[in-house]
Amino acid sequence: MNQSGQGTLDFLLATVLIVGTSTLVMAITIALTLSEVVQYVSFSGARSYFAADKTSQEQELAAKAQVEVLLKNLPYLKGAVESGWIKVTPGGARNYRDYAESKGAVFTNDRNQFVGYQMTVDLPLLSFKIPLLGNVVQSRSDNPVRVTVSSFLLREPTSDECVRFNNRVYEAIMNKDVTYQSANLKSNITPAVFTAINDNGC
Amino acid sequence: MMKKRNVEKNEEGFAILEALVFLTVFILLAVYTIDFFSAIHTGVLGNIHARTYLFETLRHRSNIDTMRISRQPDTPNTPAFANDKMGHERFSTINDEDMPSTANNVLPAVGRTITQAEESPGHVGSGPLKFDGNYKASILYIKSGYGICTDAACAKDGG
Repeated sequence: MNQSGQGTLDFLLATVLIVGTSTLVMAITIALTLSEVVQYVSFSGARSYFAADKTSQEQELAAKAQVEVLLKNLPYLKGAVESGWIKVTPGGARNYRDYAESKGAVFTNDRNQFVGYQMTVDLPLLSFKIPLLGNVVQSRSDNPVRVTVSSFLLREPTSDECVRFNNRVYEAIMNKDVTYQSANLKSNITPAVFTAINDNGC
Repeated sequence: MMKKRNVEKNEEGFAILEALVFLTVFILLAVYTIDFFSAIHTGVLGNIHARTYLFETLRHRSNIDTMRISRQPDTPNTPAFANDKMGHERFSTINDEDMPSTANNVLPAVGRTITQAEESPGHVGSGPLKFDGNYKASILYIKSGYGICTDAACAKDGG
């Protein structure tokens, strides 16, 4: 039986398989590393959202600005986004209690630690075909590999919220006992002219 | 003699054997890639959660010594852990997600079981592990914590 050329055929077949599977391992490694970098971006956004500001809208804007800067400037992530290996969709900074409930969290009181930043990440990097073995991802959807990356660090109250809180405290004291109201009448202080001064948070 | 020589030259099935060896190595590499990513990811998420837990317990108080102060009438302002560095810091750690919430008598080690490895009994919750040769690294223990100094004495105690 003539077996000349069999070795070349084996070599070619093995080369194709090795290159394909090595590409798969490399793609998984890059995808996992990228997801960790995105995790840092969401963490950084949540940290910017955490810091107190005048209003919660300004806290949200601070988080948005931080995430945009990082997505555009982080060397490794920037290249991956530009080359289409990864697609990051910022979800914004807010209270994600609804998300936690959709994942099965049960809240028995007002405690909620799911406040922070969340983003959706698609990984087209993993949607490729290995020769002789087939597609890495079987799904037919446009974004077959989609993960949600979250960082929940809470949020400090804003100065507006502190003023409202202190006003409510004032009103609660006034409504507690008529004695306090009479003291007000004597000094001509009414809720309309009462001004809360926040010197150290609320 | 002729028959024996044919058996020695018969190479049928060798390709399968080679494939099995290389497939095992390949799967091991792929699995350990994912396992070590899981370990790092667990550490990062644990750190975020520990930080959130600490800040949630502080509840935006300006005085973060709260619940650290002794209420004894003879020593009203003595920290509860006056002779301990814990009296000058707050430190929060988190448990393994598989660990019951009642296991809080010690700081139980958070673990990420490496694929295909059995957990060795007696190690979880027994404090830091010593590499004494008897322990085989089948489990990667990760303990994430987040601490904050409550006063200047914290640094003196090496906190």
